Amino acid sequence: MTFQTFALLLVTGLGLSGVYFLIASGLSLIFGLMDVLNLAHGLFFTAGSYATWWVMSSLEVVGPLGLRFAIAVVAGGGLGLAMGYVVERVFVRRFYGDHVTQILITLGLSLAGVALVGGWFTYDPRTFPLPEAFGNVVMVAGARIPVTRLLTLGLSLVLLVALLAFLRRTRHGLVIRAGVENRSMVQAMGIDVQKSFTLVFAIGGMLAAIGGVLGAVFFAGVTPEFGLNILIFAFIVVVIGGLGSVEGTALASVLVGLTQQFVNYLAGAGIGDLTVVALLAGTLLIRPQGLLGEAVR
Amino acid sequence: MNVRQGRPAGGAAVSSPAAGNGAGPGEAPPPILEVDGLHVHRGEAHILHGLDFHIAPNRVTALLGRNGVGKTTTLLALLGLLPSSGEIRLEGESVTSLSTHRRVQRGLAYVPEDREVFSQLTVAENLRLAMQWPESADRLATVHELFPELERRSAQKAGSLSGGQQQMLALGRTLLHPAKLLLIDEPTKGLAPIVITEVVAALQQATADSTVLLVEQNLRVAEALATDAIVLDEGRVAWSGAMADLLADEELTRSMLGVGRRAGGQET
Repeated sequence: MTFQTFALLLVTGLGLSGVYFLIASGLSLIFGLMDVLNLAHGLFFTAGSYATWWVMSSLEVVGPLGLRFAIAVVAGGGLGLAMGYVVERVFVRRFYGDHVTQILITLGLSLAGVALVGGWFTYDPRTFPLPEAFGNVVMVAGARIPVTRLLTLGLSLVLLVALLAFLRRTRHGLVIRAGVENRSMVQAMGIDVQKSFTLVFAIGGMLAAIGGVLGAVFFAGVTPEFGLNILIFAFIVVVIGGLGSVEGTALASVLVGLTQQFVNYLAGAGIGDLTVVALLAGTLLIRPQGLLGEAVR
Repeated sequence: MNVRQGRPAGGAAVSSPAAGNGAGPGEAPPPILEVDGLHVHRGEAHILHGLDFHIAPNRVTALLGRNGVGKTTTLLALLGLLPSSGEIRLEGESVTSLSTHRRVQRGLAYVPEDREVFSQLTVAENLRLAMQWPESADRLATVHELFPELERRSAQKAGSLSGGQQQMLALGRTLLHPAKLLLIDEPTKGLAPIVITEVVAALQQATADSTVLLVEQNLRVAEALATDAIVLDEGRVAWSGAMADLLADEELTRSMLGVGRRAGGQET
């Protein structure tokens, strides 16, 4: 493997890691805080990706594609935020503690979402125009790195830092971190943890939808099953990273993204995905609480 | 089971309505907490069988009894952390239908068994989480005076503190709340004897002029802290009255410590 190939695989793998992180971080916080396995999380991702497709393809009145992409990020994120809020308030809230019903409801939402998007936009892959600059490559130590990979990586890093700052510097973040560790004790301190549930769902929805925006650019198109397909890897990331740990999710995203890229290149397409599943199995055997998760007492 | 009634200390600090106990009207201030017919089931088990008791203000009441009689369950039910039936009134107002955080906002505060500090948060963050009352800022200075170790270790993760330090943090964060009734569950559990002495001294200082319902297995600790006592047996109030009366009655004390022996010594 030449250095140029190594650098390209590295940056591409990190870009993919960024997409994984964005969908998995909300999933991890939702499970860590509320014990909810949100199978509808992929829907937020799909919503973000289709918002991007629509803004980039149809919102010609705005003008330049660069501005349209900025609007897609904001619109996709806003759509995910609203969807997360609605899903928690309308569908999930009544069934906290009832895991079977939660799974049935969120799975139903996920499948219904795919059918709705497919019925509306057809199941054909949709492509869309991108700003000219996105087609460029940047020379890094002799390697030609596509701008889209750097964009995905850069925006994901910005959102990682923003999420960590929110969790570490704000009172809402403090309540969420405490709630992930011991929800009952937060309530016993007189804090309405229910508000944090809604907030985490909304933030998780927003991050996943922005992941969908970047995923649409990264994979150069969208399909109705887009979110559902990537959700499987997001769950793997969440388990490897440790439930409720944002830092663990970031670390696991990098591990999974890079493993897929390098193994697929070295051993053949598809082997990378198998290796990721093996990583999951190894983690469950050796460190069931995940890389940075807390052991259950 | 018959409810045995001790002589109330200082005028019905603790009363058991089932026994018709209590000072006459006008002699005692109204109770902070009134519990009537409290039942709790956990799975198939019926843990509390209709508890009735009152807690008088500005006194420390020990909730005693052998392991498994429902002491911790009582505190959790009072907080709404376990489903229960019956009536719970705080300063005369029913809190039975309120969620846990609303009960705490009404004036209950809780120091749990095993401390349950947030181990991944720093000491300062644990305290900051509790800083949600107008009085909290002033109370923080008092907490730091009581437990200077907490100020020195403010940047340390709570999970890395010793058991005694964690207990001080658990108590400190609760003291930031201007609570009407402190529920303290086994504050000396699992601590070394020398640390128990420290914790008891801190508790004596911290709970002066407060109303406290204290669950404690260690009778010496209960004696040092409590003025009144309620003894549970088989999920019911078996005795209530002044702590001194309980300790003065050897048979009663032995009965309480002897896993509910009947007069003939046969275990129940």
